Amino acid sequence: MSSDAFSSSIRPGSSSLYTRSHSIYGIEDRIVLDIGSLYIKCGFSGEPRPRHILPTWSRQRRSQASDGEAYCISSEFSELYELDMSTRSSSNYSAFEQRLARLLHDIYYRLLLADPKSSKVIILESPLLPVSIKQTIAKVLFQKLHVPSVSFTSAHLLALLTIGQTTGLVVDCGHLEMTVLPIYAARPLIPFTCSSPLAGRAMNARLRKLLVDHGRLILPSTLHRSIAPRTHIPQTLLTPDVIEDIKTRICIVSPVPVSGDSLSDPVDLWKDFSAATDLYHPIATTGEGKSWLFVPGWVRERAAEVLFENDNDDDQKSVVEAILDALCKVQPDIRKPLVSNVLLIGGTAMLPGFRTRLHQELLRVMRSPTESEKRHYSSVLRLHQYLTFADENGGDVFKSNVRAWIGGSLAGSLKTSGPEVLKERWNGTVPDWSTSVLNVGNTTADVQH
Amino acid sequence: MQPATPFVYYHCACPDFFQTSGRSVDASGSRDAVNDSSSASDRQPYVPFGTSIATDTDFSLFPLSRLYFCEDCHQIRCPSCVQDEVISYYCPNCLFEVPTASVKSEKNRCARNCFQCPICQNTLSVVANPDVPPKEPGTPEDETKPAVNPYHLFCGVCRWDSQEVGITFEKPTSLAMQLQKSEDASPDIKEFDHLKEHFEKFLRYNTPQSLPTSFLSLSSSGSFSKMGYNTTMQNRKGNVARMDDVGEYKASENIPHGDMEVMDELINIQEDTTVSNLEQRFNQVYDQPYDTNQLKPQRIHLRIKRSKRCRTCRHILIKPEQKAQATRFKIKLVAMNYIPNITMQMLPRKTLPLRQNVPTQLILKFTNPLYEEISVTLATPQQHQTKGDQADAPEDLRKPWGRVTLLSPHFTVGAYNETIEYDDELLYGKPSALSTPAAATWENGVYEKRNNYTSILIEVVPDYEGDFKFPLLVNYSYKSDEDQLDTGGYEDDDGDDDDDEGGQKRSQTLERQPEERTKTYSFWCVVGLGEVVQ
Repeated sequence: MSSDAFSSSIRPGSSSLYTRSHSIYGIEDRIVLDIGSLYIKCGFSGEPRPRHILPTWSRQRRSQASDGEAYCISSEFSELYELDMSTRSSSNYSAFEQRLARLLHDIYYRLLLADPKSSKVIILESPLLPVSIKQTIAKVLFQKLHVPSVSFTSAHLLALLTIGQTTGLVVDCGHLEMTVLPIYAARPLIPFTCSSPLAGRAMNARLRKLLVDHGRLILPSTLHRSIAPRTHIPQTLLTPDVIEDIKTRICIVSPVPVSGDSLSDPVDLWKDFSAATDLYHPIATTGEGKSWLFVPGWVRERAAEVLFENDNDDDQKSVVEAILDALCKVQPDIRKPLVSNVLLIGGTAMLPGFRTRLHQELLRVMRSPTESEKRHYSSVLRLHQYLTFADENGGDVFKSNVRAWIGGSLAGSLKTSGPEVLKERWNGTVPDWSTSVLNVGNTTADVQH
Repeated sequence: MQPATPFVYYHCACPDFFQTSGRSVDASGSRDAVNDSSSASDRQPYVPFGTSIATDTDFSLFPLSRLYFCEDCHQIRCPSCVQDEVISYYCPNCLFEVPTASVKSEKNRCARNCFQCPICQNTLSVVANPDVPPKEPGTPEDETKPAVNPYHLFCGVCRWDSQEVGITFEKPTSLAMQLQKSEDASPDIKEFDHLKEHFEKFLRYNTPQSLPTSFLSLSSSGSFSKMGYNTTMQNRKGNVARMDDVGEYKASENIPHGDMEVMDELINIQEDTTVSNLEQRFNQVYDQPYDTNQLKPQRIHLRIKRSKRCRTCRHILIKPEQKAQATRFKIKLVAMNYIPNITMQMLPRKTLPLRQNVPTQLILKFTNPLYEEISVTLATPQQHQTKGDQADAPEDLRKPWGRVTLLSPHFTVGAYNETIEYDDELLYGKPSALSTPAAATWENGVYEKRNNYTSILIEVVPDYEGDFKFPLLVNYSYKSDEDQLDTGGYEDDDGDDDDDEGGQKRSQTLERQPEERTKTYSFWCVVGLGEVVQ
């Protein structure tokens, strides 16, 4: 009765990081890749953490200068892909494909040190990832690297596996978008997905605006920096990687929500109700001395407010609205198990204070909603008594930005994954929920080989 | 961006790889019609774009030093269209060659004494603490005193010390082993194993042999109609557990979320020197601490030596020696030994930068690496004005870059032979009997023709400001009297299945011909001349 396919991988108590429960030649390992727009998490299945997190803009550029040529230097911070790729011109596609090919080549031959031909690949996908991006990923993997098979698996479902459940509401706060996907009994309820662009990139834009308006630049001078003359920060100084650096190191999410009416300027409220100290961020060092960026404390505390702003705009939901929307959409009988298992994943969710603030905001809306909120979400407001975040049990043992990857590694070690596309049978299409009604193979994509 | 320095980049269209019809070079610059079936867009044949070739991110352009040449296919190969294979693994610090089995078991890290600084990622050195004597093997353990170990790690670049994070060692060797116990005790490993056991138990009970073993594959198709799985389940005797009920799970490890403490710390800082940045945090994925004091040194990552193979004919182009210390190559088929090297020179008393609308003459020097004389023909592409209906034509096609006149489109370059190296005039700058007389007689646009190089004149008139680049088509031919039969000298492939698309074995199409044949080859290159000022 027991499935012998799995018995070989069961070995009790193998808790060492440096011994492996698979064969040392790793032929049963799968390579798990989580290709995000900013960072690619890569590693082997069966391991509790990804081997590497690779920024997608690293080592993509080369320079030639009078003192020589450098071949693998980091280009500017830029996303690997955009979510509207299908509307862009074909030259963007080939740029994306080339960049992805170089990144994957780098991953295999510099980081994982594995032969691509010998391991199957599991790719994590989000339900709203454009099919063209998936097809390009498959194309690069099959044509350039000759991997034996690729299987696209839902990242949200895999993340749920890391808490030992198969039912829950998974909230993925990434860079390009924030997606809420309800999953019941290991079935992703994709028609009930809610997504919003209020994610990492929106926060970068807000932080940038606040710094341009309220931050200051302190050029090198003989005076101490607290009394040295300050000027406005020029826009060109706030490059995307400076903003990302500031966001990931010193920004926090304030635990104190401020609710003003929509007419008053929130900036004044933020200034009054923020506790963070002002901070000097070193920005450059020249021969004359150090330049500093003066970041007001309230800016770094309130830059994340954009994620929680209810905009009454259907396209730009805040995190709270998206969760409540998803709950409203699903059938009433499964709402309770979903709301008792809310799981946060994604890099943006790792901002200090994000979890607590989200929990607070959700409870506030559900317990004391405003009039418009009552209208929208009346059916789910009673569920506040059941609201729990799913990782209360295990806590922070897996970090949010790698949790989906870890789920992929778990699935790979259990030899399960999404539908597998073999290299020999690949014809340019990839299985996707949006095309699953049709037969695979009837689409008009080019037939390769 | 720094102002661009002049360059010559060669273009590799990766022809066989992308299966474009015909040769890699399409002199008229025509484009493939853009098909509607989108994603499987093959790389289009090279269209000379002139000014906006983004040489810093366009990876089909390479300096000659980066290209390989496959003798059998008689084609340039670039790093993107060769296939890599791993030859050996080694540690970049201790240059120890690691056997394949330990590579996998040690997770691609050096298992000896090599660590990298968590702050600046440079190599750490092992330092002895002079105050603490090394432990004698015979002395009894002193229970009251905490263990003070004499050895620790030190970074020479940023002066980080492993004593700051509490890592010290008893012996100066096999440091990785001494740290292994603490690494293994990490809670995420235990939790992962616990999760695996939980799901394995469930899968064991609930997965019948005949149906697909992947419950995920059914669910991710999003189709609710595949409930047939469950009806089969209910037919099984005595097995009422439904596949969707994984059962309660209790995590074995509990690490309280530390982000409120992190936030409390971050709220009060005034300078961010003790806050880690993302690169440092990603070296420690399980932890990702915000505080630099919690960053631990990581083992150094191994590197590999690779051999490169042509994808079509499967011949090895590059094969390094297996030993880590050796830098030679057993097989080295690089383009520098087959393709003329193009360099640029300014005329005497003329300087860069170029000026807009001012005709400037400069010298292109072609150096021939072959043992035969080659005859070279140059061409520049026609520049077409845009038509308004080409909506998808990129910006650059609309602006011709300027006028380029080749004063000598056809010329020969002498053969290479070893005596050139001993030629006095190269060493001492004096003209020798072989050289042509001086500058006054620039006939036919040939500035100078010596030994194995020829310098020709070109004249450029830039039309627009900015970087000035233009494409150049180089076509050269030479008489080769070698025997055309195959490749006795190269290592044959090691029996890999030929799994690439097409696999045209060109070497088999060449017949054995002892008499002379004329071989020709052409390629595009991009010549950049730096910035153009007013």
